[in-house]
Amino acid sequence: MKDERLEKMKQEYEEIRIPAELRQRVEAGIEKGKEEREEVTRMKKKSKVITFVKAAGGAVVAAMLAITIMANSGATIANAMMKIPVLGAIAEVVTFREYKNSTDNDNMSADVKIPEVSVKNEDGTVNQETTEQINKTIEDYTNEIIAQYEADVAAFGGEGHQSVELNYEVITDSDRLFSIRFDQLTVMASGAESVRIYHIDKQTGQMINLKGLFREDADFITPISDNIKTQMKEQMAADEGKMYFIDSDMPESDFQSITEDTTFYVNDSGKLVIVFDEYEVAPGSMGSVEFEIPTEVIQDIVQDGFVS
Amino acid sequence: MNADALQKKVEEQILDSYEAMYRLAYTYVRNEEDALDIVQESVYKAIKYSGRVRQEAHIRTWLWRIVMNTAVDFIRKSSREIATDETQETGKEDIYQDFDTLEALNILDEREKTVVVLRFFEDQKLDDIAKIMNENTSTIKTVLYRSLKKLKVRLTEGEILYEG
Repeated sequence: MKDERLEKMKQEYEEIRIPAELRQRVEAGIEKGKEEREEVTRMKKKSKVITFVKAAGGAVVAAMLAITIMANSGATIANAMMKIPVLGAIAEVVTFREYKNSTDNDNMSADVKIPEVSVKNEDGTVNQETTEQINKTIEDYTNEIIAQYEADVAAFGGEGHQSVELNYEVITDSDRLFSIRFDQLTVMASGAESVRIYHIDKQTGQMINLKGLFREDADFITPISDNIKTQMKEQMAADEGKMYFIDSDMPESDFQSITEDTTFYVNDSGKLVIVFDEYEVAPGSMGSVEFEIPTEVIQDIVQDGFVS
Repeated sequence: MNADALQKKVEEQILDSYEAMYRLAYTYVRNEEDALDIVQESVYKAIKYSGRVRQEAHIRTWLWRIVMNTAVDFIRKSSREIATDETQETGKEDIYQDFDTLEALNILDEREKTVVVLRFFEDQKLDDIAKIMNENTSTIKTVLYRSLKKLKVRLTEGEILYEG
């Protein structure tokens, strides 16, 4: 290492005084651990069974969330309903399941909510293909989170410290776009936030990524990336507390550009918002960060009805 | 390997590395009294749960993880105690001369601190740090870059990734 400060830090680290008492304390810890070890070995099998039962018992909680419009809710209402033009497909969350688990000592726990989405065509029939596709995407994603959690529990025998939470929310349901957002919060030594959002274009009934908002062959990556870079620089200039990975001494890890699959949503005022996970474009202290893209930047290339 | 043999291996590893365990604990709490408590508690847990280590090769990694978790728990607990009980005495920070550069680590969060200490002061490989932190290697690399940037330390890519 050639950096002097780091060398000096290392030297100081190595010079941290070791108290004379340390050896005794270590031996005391070993003794106490040995006294209790036998017991744990015997209890282990039992607690394994308990964990299994918990996982099986707590796995399925279903709740109806969707509001169903009753056909027999009165002629006046039925007539009024018919006058409302239905634009394209309808997507809604119909049920959800919940995966809940915690180890005996409560040091590790998971709470993962898994919604099921139903997509209907204009004529009210279920759009099987998109319904299956979005539910499969959601399931793959939630299974991955659950598998990771279970692997961690197995690896650390409950001695790890971790809590995993996954919540979802339908954040957009406009004439054109249906978006469901997942927020994953994993707390270990420190927290990590991660966001996934899935979208359905209600005009076509298809799942779309960021590319799906734009006209075919339009370059949306450059104008959006440039705008984000400008915003990063402006924010950093205006507020010393803000820090993004841009113009740093390590250009290879600076923010370069968004991709076709970059996370996004459309906010209440109809603006496109680009979302980055914690650590993706900024230090952990900034958490997960979002940039609202002014509609002028994309108005020539975006398809009608998505933003305003 | 049976439980007794495994416990013996864990014990050997502890006796071999308890000073390093102490230094890591000290970097978190910066006082002797609390660092001693953390080491004793970590050693106790490691022996108590030694039957849970899958492979001998993982023992050292696993010990780091226990120290890290115990220290983080300790910090959380004592910050709660301060909040609820003003008279509660936790150890005071020791004051050493010439400590101003190691003090610089305080601008890092716990996770960043751990990565810097393990990588540069304890010469752990990035892959092992990733295991300790339960993250993938590329995330650890990113955390490392950010930490060095915060510390205003300049190193070449080779120096950062060199697996000593």
